[in-house]
Amino acid sequence: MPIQTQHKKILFTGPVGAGKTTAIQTMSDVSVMTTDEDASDMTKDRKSQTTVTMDYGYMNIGEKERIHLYGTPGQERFDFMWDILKNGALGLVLLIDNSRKNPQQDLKFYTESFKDFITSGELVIGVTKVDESSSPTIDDYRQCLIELSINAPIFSVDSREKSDISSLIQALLYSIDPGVAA
Amino acid sequence: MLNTRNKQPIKVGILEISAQNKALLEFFFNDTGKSYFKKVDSDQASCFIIDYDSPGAKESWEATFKKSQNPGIIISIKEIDLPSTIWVAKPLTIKALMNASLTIKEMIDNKNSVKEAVIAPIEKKQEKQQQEEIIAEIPQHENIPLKTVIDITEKDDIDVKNKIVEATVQKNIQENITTEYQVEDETLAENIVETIIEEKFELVVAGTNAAASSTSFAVSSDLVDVNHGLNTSNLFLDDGDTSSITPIDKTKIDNNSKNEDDIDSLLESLISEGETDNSSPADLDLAKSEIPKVNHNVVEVAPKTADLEDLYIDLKAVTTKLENSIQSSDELVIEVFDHTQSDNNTKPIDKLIDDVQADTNIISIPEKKSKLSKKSAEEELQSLLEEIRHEADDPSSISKSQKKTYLPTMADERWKLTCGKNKKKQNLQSLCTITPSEHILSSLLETIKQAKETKTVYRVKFKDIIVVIYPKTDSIYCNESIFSDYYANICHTPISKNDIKKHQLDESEIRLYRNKIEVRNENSHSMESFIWTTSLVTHQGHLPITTDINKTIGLKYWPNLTRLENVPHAIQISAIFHKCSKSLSEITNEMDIPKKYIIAFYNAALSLDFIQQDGKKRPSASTSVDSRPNKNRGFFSRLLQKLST
Repeated sequence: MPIQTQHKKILFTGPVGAGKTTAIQTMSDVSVMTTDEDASDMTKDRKSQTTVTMDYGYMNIGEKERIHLYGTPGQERFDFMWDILKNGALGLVLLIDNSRKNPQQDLKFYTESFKDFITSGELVIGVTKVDESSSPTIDDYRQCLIELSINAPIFSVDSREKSDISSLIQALLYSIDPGVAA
Repeated sequence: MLNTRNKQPIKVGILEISAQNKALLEFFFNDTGKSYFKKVDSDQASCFIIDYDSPGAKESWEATFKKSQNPGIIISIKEIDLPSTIWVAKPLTIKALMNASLTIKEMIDNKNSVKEAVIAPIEKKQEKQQQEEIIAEIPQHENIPLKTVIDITEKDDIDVKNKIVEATVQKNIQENITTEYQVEDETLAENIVETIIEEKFELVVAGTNAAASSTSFAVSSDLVDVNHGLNTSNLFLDDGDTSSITPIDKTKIDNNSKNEDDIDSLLESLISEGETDNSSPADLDLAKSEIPKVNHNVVEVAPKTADLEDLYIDLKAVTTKLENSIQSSDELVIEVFDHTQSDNNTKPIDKLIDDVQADTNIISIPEKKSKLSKKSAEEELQSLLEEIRHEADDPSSISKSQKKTYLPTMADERWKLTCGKNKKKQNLQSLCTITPSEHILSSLLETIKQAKETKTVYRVKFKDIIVVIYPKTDSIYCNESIFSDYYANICHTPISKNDIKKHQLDESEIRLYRNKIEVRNENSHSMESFIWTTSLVTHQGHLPITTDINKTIGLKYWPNLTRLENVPHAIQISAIFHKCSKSLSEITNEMDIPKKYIIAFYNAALSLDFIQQDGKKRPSASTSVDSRPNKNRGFFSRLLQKLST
């Protein structure tokens, strides 16, 4: 007998190496389906393999419900996937790699790319690899977001830490519905 | 070697570790892990546990290891590969800690053995001589009568017993006494024995030569020593059908059954057969009824004239049988010879068998019981740990019935301090008691502002608290732990502003403090984290006296909640402050969250200058957003529940 599963999805996006695949792996109840390929361009300076289509995992909520977790490919040339994946998503988790050359530029780029989605849906931002590079600070990002007229939760996170990614998702859910009670 | 295994728990010192993991470890050490670890001071520890993700852990471990050379258990989210360490992945589990205990024990033993080899070679030599003397005492017989062993062991303590048993076994190996059964390769025998131990099979040693009046014995895997094959001292009688192979329940055995205390107790029992048997017949009957397998009729299995002391175990025969048995099935037959030629028939075999049967009760039943109880204890502990974790995340989610019996965790105690103890129905206005200017917080905030504006490093001193503000790196150094009760007390107590000294640091002073930060990294905090915690411990659930509880407020920015001291429900409170334009009074009344947490959050956010006093001006604010609690918002509620556990 088929299980009636309620489908909701959360989209993880961000530049190459920001920790999208790891974040989904951290939260998923199943092994994450990845479409990693050997990096061929400048990506290989950062990591040997990169997502080319999407990452997918999910969290079971009870027996009949599930939250799907999708990760977009980081490289811009796969941006056609972004439009496909964002369709119907509950919210967007944007992960920014603080160790990149200009992470604030990444923030601007991704918020611009998902502008339509952000105006109608919710956004939370996680800044990763703060231990590798302490600058820019979270306060710098806040100022950057004010310039972009975006007021979204922004946390320092470690994609490997369940509590960190869980906090991001909780912030997303409470942003959508502050009165919801766990 | 069959030396009495050191059953003492491993003395462990806890180095840098997070409060939560420390609480978990202490719980483990006091409960299931009691027999594995004993928490001691670092100077007495034979190993250490360190949370490698804690600030300064690396340096701390390097220093500790350099000093003591003792091995360590490293707890970390990522794999850490360092010499003399074991990595235990987070989150901590009982199983991982137990496994770590075995490995660390080996490391300690190895370390000690190396040390012994270096320090006391003479002692070793003497020990060897003693062994040789003991062997010399043993009659030069093809097989060594157990009685001889027993007689000798009666004289000495357990260690000596072990030496003798060891010597006996060694002699068996060295002299290759066996004529009937020969094993070509001793290593093979050892491997077989090892395999059996690993596969946790209980070996049944049953007499196969019924006609030749052999006696069957059941041998648990405890009895097999990897180094020496079989410990002859630890045998117990099996079913009377000497030709049968008794199937064994694999679940009966676990690694813990490799307990040489059992061996010792049985050996002692065998020794005591020469003395008066105090066991009442009723006891023995009961013992028999509890172990059907051991319901043994002496007449059926062994000649009445035979004495246990005259039973010989041929190690080679055993190993050969082991080999054959493994090849054919999971069961094993080991033949035990009856040396009826012996003249030393000093004890009726019935009595001996009864003794051994009684001993099987000592060994087998408690083993089974202890395994069961251990399993249930582990399950219980796991569920308790889950509770602790759950509590640390969200204390309000615990049901009322649980609250009645729940012991306060460290997090509870801390929240009592940071969020106060005010009651639900307490009037909000009555909590507005704090005069900010009377507390060190206001001076600190003022100096931080100054430091940011002038981009210079400032030092603030009050009593013995020193705070250094680095505006460039957005960080603050404090010589005292900001999570200590002492610091909380300093912050909460009203002070005179004249007692606070502050000045700009010059380059040499900055360098000095930079060095201090490198050494005591845990005393360095992000500005946000420092202000957040200082504000919490300053207010302790009270509001600034100037608070207008009816004024609409909002949140300018979300605090970096993943890197700040935890305030329960902080994410939800942030969302409501951020999304709703309401007064503090309205929010505390509407939300189904204890008032003290909302107040604590408000105070900390206010100190960070994240509170917009006229909330309606914010672009994200809306009065239409529903902040009223609703437990039945379906999917979201269930997802949040999952995330919070």
